[in-house]
Parts: sequence; structure tokens; C-alpha cells
Amino acid sequence: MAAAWIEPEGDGDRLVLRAGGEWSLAGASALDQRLGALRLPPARRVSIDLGAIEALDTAGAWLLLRLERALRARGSEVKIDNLASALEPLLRQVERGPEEAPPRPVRRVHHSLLDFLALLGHATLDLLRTAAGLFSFLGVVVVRAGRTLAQPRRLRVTALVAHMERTGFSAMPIVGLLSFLIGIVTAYQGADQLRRFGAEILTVDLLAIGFLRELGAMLTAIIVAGRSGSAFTAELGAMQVREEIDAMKTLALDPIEVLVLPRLFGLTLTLPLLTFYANAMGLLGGALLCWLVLGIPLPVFTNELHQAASLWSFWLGVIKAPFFAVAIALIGCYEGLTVERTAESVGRHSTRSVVQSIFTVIVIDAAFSILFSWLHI
Amino acid sequence: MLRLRGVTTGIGGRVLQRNIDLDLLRGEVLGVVGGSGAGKSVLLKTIVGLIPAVSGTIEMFGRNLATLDEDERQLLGTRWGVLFQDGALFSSLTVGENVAVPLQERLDLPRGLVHELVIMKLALVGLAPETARLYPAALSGGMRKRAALARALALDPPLLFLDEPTAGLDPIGAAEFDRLVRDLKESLNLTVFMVTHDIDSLVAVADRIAVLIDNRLKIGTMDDMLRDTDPWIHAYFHGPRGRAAIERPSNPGA
Repeated sequence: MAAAWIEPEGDGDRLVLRAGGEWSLAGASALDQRLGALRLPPARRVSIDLGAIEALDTAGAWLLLRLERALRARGSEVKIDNLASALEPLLRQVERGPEEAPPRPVRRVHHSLLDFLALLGHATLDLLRTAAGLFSFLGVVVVRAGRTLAQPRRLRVTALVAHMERTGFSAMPIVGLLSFLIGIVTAYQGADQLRRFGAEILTVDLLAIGFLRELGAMLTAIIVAGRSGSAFTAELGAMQVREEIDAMKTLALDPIEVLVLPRLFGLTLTLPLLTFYANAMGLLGGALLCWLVLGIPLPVFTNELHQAASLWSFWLGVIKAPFFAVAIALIGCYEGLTVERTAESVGRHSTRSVVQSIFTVIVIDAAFSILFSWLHI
Repeated sequence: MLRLRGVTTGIGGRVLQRNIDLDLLRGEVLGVVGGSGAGKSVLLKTIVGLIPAVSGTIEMFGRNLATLDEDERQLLGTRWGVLFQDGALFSSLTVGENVAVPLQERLDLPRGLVHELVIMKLALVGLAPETARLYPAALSGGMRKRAALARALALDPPLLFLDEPTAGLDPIGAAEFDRLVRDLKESLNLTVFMVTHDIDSLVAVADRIAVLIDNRLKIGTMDDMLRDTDPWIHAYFHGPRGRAAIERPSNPGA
């Protein structure tokens, strides 16, 4: 089939536009340009001759109609000739649309100082709103948790155990491996520095204090925030999108009791255990390095460990884990429950969930450091 | 337009239809009915290539889909449109952008023209130009289906697949949608493969009816179906709903 064409003919009072070829979407771009470049002399009467049209689809019909309307707007009398009867319904159908398309929405570009300030203001308000929402969510969850603990039969044990397995047991390989490797790295870097003072043996102290008090708990919390916090948000978010949470409410089930509490309790119980495991793996990695690189045999290592770290060092690390767990679970669930009903929203809230929970974990850790130094422990 | 020969469909190892033959003729509307779980949607998805057929050949526009390479298949894919059950509009784009997606992906059109075509398509399915700026979440069920139909029609495909177009619409909205399909079919010269539950739609729109029953496909006109002795078909077309739809003196889509 031939490409679309249109040729003006005649002049003065009467103008004939002969159109032909395939007026379809495939050639719409070229035809649009051709029509735009068409310079027509003003004429009182114009007829558009469609005798040579081979094919017409809605795009072609639209261009034709647009041409007709433009000519009319110039004050010409327009007549369409030789339209194949098979194509007539199509033209009529397209004709029913609006006379003129409304202006295309233009995306605003932010570049002025005022725009920047407005953006900053919106972001600040958004942050405050999220914080307020999180705190009120914390309040609701605490009330429900209290009620559930008062009536332990309301606790959903199956869900609790399932979440403990998913967030805790399944995380063991990755948490163990990373702690082990970080134990090796810490010991290696520490040994390198301490060797200058001839104090390689203090590497053990560095490991003990560093891992037990800080690294173990924080590392585990960050891995779990990335692994399980985002999963909480995505799970609850997908349920929100599919209206499952609304359905739950109409069945007189409390989403907080059914969905949030098992996740919260599960994570609060498992994160300290995971932290203990991470500590053990980190020390194991450090001990391995001390033995292979520094030549410190295991008995000497454990002896030094006993002197450097009291049981308190261990507890100071582990005690933080439940607080981290509450923060991760609360943020994960809150973000999941505030998802709107779009696919994009699930992704946005999952991202926010991970960023917020890692941030909160570090803030909590800093708060504990201040508290401990204030208490001189 | 569409030719199925000995097609067996299934999903997850379960066979749903065995050895189906089907011909869809140019310009006709074929209504596909069947009980819940009979695999109506699976059949539709198998034909458009979303689910692989277990065996058999599917020909569209005279080309065997199985023998085409990826590029040819994509090109051929622009010649049919699919309306999914819940519309399946992209939720992160506005309605206008949804309709513009196929136009922008497939063709190199100036933006102004794309916008004009989008507004025109929306008008075709009976939506106001202002709808283009809204997000799908802000639309009612009926409007969402119309917008999805506009997207399915964006490339002016001669062949249209509809998956339960009237499900979830109120009777008035459903009747309007039937009329819309009929209208567009006439004016755009469409061939339509329509999966439905809705006996009113069948009466209003379908030229022929295919019933999925016992892993087979029974095809005929409405009169054939009314005479059929199969208990399921009899119950379907002679049940209270069927009777009411068929005997209504002037059905809403006619």
C-alpha cells in the first residue's frame, strides 16, 4: 500500500484537496508533518476528496478531522467527497470526540530558589508527619501488646513461630558469614596498627570490646532491617493493595493483633539470639586470624578475652538488640500499613522502611552509648 | 483472523482444554462462556501467548505463533489488543500516559500528536478529556475498564481480546459497555474474542458463542445453544438469568 499523501489543487474561490494512500497510525508522524507544512491559499469553499484513500484507521481519521476543523476555523466551507461507505462509521465515531484537545499537561521543573524552599518545606512536613504517625502507631501497638500479654491465649503462636523462623533462623547463614568476615577484618586491621607498639596481644581486647559492645548488635540489626524490615513492608503493603487488610477488619480481626504483634514479638525474641550468634562468629573469625597470622594460640586468646571483657561487655551489646528489634518491626509494619493502592507505593514504602529502620538503629545505638558513658559502664 | 488446531491448554500440569479447534472470522464477535474454573481466561492467555500451549498450533493473521522469532512476534503483537479483567492499568501512570504507552513504545510520533490521539481514544470509549490527568486509583470500575479499552485500542488493532469486560460493573454500566463494544466493533471493523460470564453481554454483542465444557469447546449461535441438550448448557441458557436475558423484548445492546 502507498504511503499517505495529500495534494492541493485549484485556487481562488475553490480549493480541492486530494488525499490518498494509507492514512494510518504507521504513517501518522509523516502525515502530521506534511499537514503542518501545508500552506493553503484562503478559499471560500474547500472540498476534501478522499477517493484515493486505501486505508483509514482512527489516527488517520483524527488527522483528517483536524484538517477539516482547521479549515472551518479559517472560515471556509468544507465538504468531504468520495468517502468510501465502509469508512464512514469510523469517521463518525471519531467525530464524536471533543472539538479540541485540552492543552497537554506540562510537567513543572523545579529550579528556582522558591521551588527549592517549597520542596524543603514539604519534605520537612512529610518527615514530621511520618514521625508523628510512627509514634501514634507505637502507642496503639503498645496498648494492643499489653492486652495480648494479659490474655496470652490471644497470642498467635503459630504465626509467632513462623516469623521467628523466617526472621531469625533463616538469617543465620548470612549473619554468621558476615560477622565471621568482619571479625577477621577487624582483627587484621587492629593487629596491623597495634604491632607498631608491640601490643599485638591487645588485638584480642579490641575484638572483645568492639564486637561484644557495638559491632555484633548493630551489624545484626542492620542486616535484619534490610532483610526482614523490607519484607514486613512488602507483605503488609501487598495485602493492603489487595484489600486483604480491609477484609480482615470487617471480619472483626484486628490487623495489629494478627499481623503486627507476631512480627514484633518474633523479631524481639530472635534478634538477641541472632546477636549472640553474631558475636560468637565474629570472635571465632578474630581468633582464627590471631592464631594464623599473629601466632596467638587459642588458649592464650581465651585467657586474654576473659581479662579484657567482663560478662557486662556482652550484656551491654545484647541488651540493645530488643530495642533494635522493636524499631525495625514497628517501622516495617507501619510503612506496610500506610501503603496506598498502587504498585509503585509498595516499592516506595519498602525503601523508606529500610532507610528509616537503619537510621533508627544507629540513633538508638548512639543513645545507648551516651547512656552507658553517663552511667560509667 | 484466528485459527486454533488441536490446541491443548493447561497450567501447572493440569490440563484444562484438550484438542480444541476454533476459527474466528473477520468482523465477528465470539463470546466464550464456561463455568468458573473451566479455563476461559487460560484459553485467552494461551492464545495471546502469555501461557504456553501444551500442544497444537495457534495461527493469528495466518502466521503460526510458535514459528515466529521474538521480533516478528512483537510486531504481530501490535495487531491485537487485550483488555484484562480488572483493566490492569499501570497504577503509577495517569490514564493519559497509560493510553500513550503503546503509541510511544511502538512508533516515533511527535508528542503533540500523541496527546491528541490519546484524547481521541478516550473520547472513543466515552471518557472525558479531563480523565487523562487522573490516576487509575481515582477511577470507578467502569471508567477503569473504559480506560483499559482505550489502551488496548491505542494501536488500532483489528483483533481485540476482552476478558470479562462487564464483570464487576452495575447492570447499567454493563449494558453501556456492551453497547460501546458493539459500536466500536461496527465502526472500527473489529474482530472480538470475548470471555464472559454475563449472559446479557452474549445476547447483546456476540455473533457466535463458544462454550467450554468437559475440556472441550462447543461453538454455535445462540439458537444452537438454546436447542442444545447438554445439561450444563441447558442450565446456563435456560436458567432464570438466561431466560430473562434472552426473552427480554428489546435487549439493551440491540
